[in-house]
Amino acid sequence: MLPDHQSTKRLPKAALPLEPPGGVLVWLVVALELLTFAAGIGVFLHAKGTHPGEFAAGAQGLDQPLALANTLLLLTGGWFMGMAVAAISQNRGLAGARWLGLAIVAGIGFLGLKGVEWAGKIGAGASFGGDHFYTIYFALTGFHFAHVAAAVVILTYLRHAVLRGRYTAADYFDIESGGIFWHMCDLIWLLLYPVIYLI
Amino acid sequence: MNSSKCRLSAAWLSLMTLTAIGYTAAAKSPSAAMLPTLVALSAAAAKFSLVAWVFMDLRRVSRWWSLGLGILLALILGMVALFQWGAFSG
Repeated sequence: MLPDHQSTKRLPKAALPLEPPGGVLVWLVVALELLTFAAGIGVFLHAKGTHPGEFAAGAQGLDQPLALANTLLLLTGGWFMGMAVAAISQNRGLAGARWLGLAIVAGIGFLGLKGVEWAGKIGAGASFGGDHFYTIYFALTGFHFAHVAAAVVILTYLRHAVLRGRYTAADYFDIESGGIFWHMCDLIWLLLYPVIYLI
Repeated sequence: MNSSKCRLSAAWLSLMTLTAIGYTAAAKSPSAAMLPTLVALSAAAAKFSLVAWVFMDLRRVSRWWSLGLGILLALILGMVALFQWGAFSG
């Protein structure tokens, strides 16, 4: 692990470290989750081709501005997380805890808005198992929701540890790993959002 | 503001802009039209790359990691484009 985010500035490409930020294990999780959601996206698009009427009607019922707000909120949470890692890597633990707190709030906001979106759909008669569109919609967004909820729990734990002084510029590996898990939720949503809501 | 803060903030602003572009392109056109679909998928690819490169800090490790993630992204978006192309040609 390198001491801070600027330390590779003058390194030639061949000298860049092989180990990724947060360690290999969390990146294995990232790859497996992306492949899992890719399969889900494939199922969604296949069903869209075989049941075009249900998908056209379902797409009409989606709340575009709410999905846009959720996307902006999640990406802003990613920015807060990046700032937290940068602060902790520079031994500014209190600032890091503050940024982590903001990332947690953004995550909870995302979950809340997703709950509002689902409540609207369920109130309008949509359900898991109701038709092809809403079954896959609830499955994909629900699985992503579970990942964001897990990330919020991880960040809450890490924030407590930061406030207790557990992490310093010399040792913030767990913060990086938690950050990679958080950003994985961003990556997954960046693939789900255009497929479900835009195209 | 130090350089890592500047880099993260610039990436966040770019992400907001790209999201607005993708949303506007899709909102102003009929569903499954070719151009807004291309704009939305290109914006998604650019945002994915920004998050991986800047937020996940892949820029400071071996380029093999970026290559691996890039191949995964290309496979997924290629699959999406193939399904959409099927819809267009049908």
